[in-house]
Amino acid sequence: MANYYFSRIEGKSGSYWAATAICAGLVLGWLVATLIRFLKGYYLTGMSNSVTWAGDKVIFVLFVGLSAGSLMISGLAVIFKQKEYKVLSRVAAFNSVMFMIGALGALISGWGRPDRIFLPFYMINPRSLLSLNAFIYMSYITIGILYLWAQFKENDRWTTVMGSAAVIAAVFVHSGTGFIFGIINGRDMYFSSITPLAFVIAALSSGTALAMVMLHLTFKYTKRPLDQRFFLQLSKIMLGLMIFVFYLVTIEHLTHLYDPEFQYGEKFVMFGGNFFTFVFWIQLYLVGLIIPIFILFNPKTKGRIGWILAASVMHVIGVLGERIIFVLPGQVLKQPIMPGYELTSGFQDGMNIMYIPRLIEWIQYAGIFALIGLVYLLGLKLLPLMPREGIFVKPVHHEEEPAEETGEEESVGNVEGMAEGAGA
Amino acid sequence: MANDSMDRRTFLKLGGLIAAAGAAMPASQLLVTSTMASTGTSTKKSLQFAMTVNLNNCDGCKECEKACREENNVPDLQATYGEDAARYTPYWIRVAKMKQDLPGTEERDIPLLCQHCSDPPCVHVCVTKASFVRERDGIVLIDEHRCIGCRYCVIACPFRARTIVFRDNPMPRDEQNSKVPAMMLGVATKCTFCAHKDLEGGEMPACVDACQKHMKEVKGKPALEFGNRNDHNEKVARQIADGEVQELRANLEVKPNVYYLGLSKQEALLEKVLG
Repeated sequence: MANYYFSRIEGKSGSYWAATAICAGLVLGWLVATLIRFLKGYYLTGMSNSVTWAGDKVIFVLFVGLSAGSLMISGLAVIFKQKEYKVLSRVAAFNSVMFMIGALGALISGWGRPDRIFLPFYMINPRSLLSLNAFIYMSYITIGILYLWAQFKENDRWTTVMGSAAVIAAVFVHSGTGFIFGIINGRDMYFSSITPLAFVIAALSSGTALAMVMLHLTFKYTKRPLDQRFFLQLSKIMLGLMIFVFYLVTIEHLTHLYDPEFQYGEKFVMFGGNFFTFVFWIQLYLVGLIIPIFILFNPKTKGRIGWILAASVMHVIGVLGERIIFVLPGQVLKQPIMPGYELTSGFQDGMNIMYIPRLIEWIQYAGIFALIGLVYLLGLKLLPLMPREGIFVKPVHHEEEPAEETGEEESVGNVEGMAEGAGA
Repeated sequence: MANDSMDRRTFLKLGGLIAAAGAAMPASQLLVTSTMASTGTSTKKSLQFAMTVNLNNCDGCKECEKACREENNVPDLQATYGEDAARYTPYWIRVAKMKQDLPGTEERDIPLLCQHCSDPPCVHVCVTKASFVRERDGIVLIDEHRCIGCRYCVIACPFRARTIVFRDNPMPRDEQNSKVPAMMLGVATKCTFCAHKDLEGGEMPACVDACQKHMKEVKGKPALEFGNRNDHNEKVARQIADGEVQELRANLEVKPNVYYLGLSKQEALLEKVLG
C-alpha cells in the first residue's frame, strides 16, 4: 500500500542549521542592502536613466515563472487526477507559494520607495497591469496557502476547489506578468503578443525542472526514498514544454528579425557580439534548450536520473537567460525617439547603455535567493510537507488509518500520522 | 471534529471573502473610471497647454537646460560627481544633436522634453495613479508622495522623458528655488511645464523664458513657444492649426502636446531660402 504519511523534518542536524544560518545571514544582508539603497539612492546600483528595470526584475520574472511549474506538479494529483503525484503535492504547492513570496520580495525591494508598500492596495489604477497584478499576486498567494491548508486537512473537496482556483490564478499571474512587458509599445523589444504565452510556457517548463531538482535534493538529504518514475514521467512533460518554448522563442525572434522596426534590436541581441549575444545563443539556446532536449530525446540518457536532473538544471539556467533577454536588451538598446535620425546628448540619447550590477545589487540578489532557501528550510521543519516515502503508485484511501501518537500531530490537525522525522 | 469542521468552513469563507474583495476592488475602480471617462473627458477642455519647438530657430545654446535646472531644482549631478554620474543625471529638458541618416545632411539641435501627451502611456501604467493628467490644463504631472518608485512609467515613456531620482541634490535646500519642492529620492521625475508658475496668468515655463530672452539678445527668433492650444489668439494654437508642425513618434498615437517645426532638412532649407 502506498505510504502516505507526511511529516516535518526534524531539522536538528548541523548541516540543516548551517544552511539555515547562511540563508538567514544573506537575507539580513539583503535587508541591509535594500535599506542602504533606499536611503542613499539608486546611484549605488548599476542602473541608469536608460536601464531602470534591472536584475531585480529578472529575478522577479524568473521566480514568478518557477512558481508555475511547482504548482503544475502539485496540480497533477488534485486537478488532473494523476493520483500518484499526491505524495509530491504538498511540497510542490508550498514551493509555488514560496517562489511567489521570493518574487514579491525582489519586486518590492527594488522599488525606490519600498516604505510605501501598502499604497498599491488602495491607490489602484485599473488601467495598469502592474497595479492589477498586485491583487492577482496577493490572491494567488492567498489561494495557494488555502490550497496547502486544505491538503493538510486532507479535505479532497476543498483541495480540488482550491487547487483549481490556484491553477486559474496562476494563468492570470503568469500571463499578467508577460503582459507587463508585452504592452509597452514605446520600446520595440518589448511589444509583442507572443510574450505572455512564451512567458507562461517557459514558466511551466523551468518550474517543473527546478521542482524536480529540489524534490530530488530534499528527498536525498532527508534520507527518504523517491521513486524514479516520478522523474521519468515529469521529464516527458518537461520535454514537451521545452519544445514548445523552443518554438515560441524562435518564432518570436525570427518574426522580429523580419520586421524593419524590430530588426535593429534583434540584430543587437543575436549578432551584436555582446553579452546578450552570448546569453541568447549559449545560455538560452545551447544550454537551456538544445542540450536538454537532446538529453531527454536520446535513448541512452533519457531514462537516467542523473541526466534528467542535469537537463533540468541546464534548462533553468537557460530560462534565466531567456528572462535576461526578456528584461534587459529592451532598455539597454537606444530608444528610437526619432526614427531615421542619429541622436546624441548629455542624457545619453542615441547610445546603447550597458548594465552591470554593482556590489549592493549582488548582495540583494543573493539575499532574495537566500530568502527562498530560508522559507523552504523553515517550511520543511514547521509543516508536514514531506511524505515518508515517495512511492509512485496510485494511493488507497485510508481515512481510518490510525495516526501515530506524536506531539506534532496535534498542531497540524488530522494529518495522517507523522513519520519519525528524518534528519536533514 | 465538529469544531474542526466549523473552523475550516469559517476559515475558507473568510479566505473566499478576501479573494472576492481583492478581485472586486480593482473591478469597482474600473467601473468608476469608465463612468468618469464617459462623463468627464467627453467635454473638450478649453485649456490645453502646448509647446512648439521651431528647430530652424534653435541655435543649441542650452539656455533652456540651464534655466530649467535653476527653476526646478534639477541637479547637474555630472558636474558635481564626475563622469560616472552621467548615467543618472536627470534632465527635464535636454538639447540633443540630431543628424538625419542620409548623406550630406547637417547636424542640428533639438530640445527634447516630456511631451505632455493627452493619451500618456506613463499615466496608464502608473501603479498608484501617481502620474496623472491635470484636468484643468492637460499638464502631465507626478504626485511624488504617491509614487512608489516602481519605474514602470520610465519604461513605458516612448520619449525617454522620465527618469528616477537616483541621488539627492547636493545643493543645500536654502539655495534651491523655494517655490518648487526638492526632488524626492527614489521616485519618478520629469518636466512639469513649470506647473508651479501662473501659466494661466501668462507666465511662461523657465525654458521658454530663457529661449526668448536669449534670442532677443542675439536678435534671432525664439525656438520655443508656449500657450493654450485651444485659444487661437495664441501663437502655438496658430502654428498647430497651420498644420506645419510634426509630432515625435506620431505612429504611437499618444497625442503629444509638444510639436516640432522644421524637423526635415527640406523644410530647414526652405526656411533659410525664404527667410
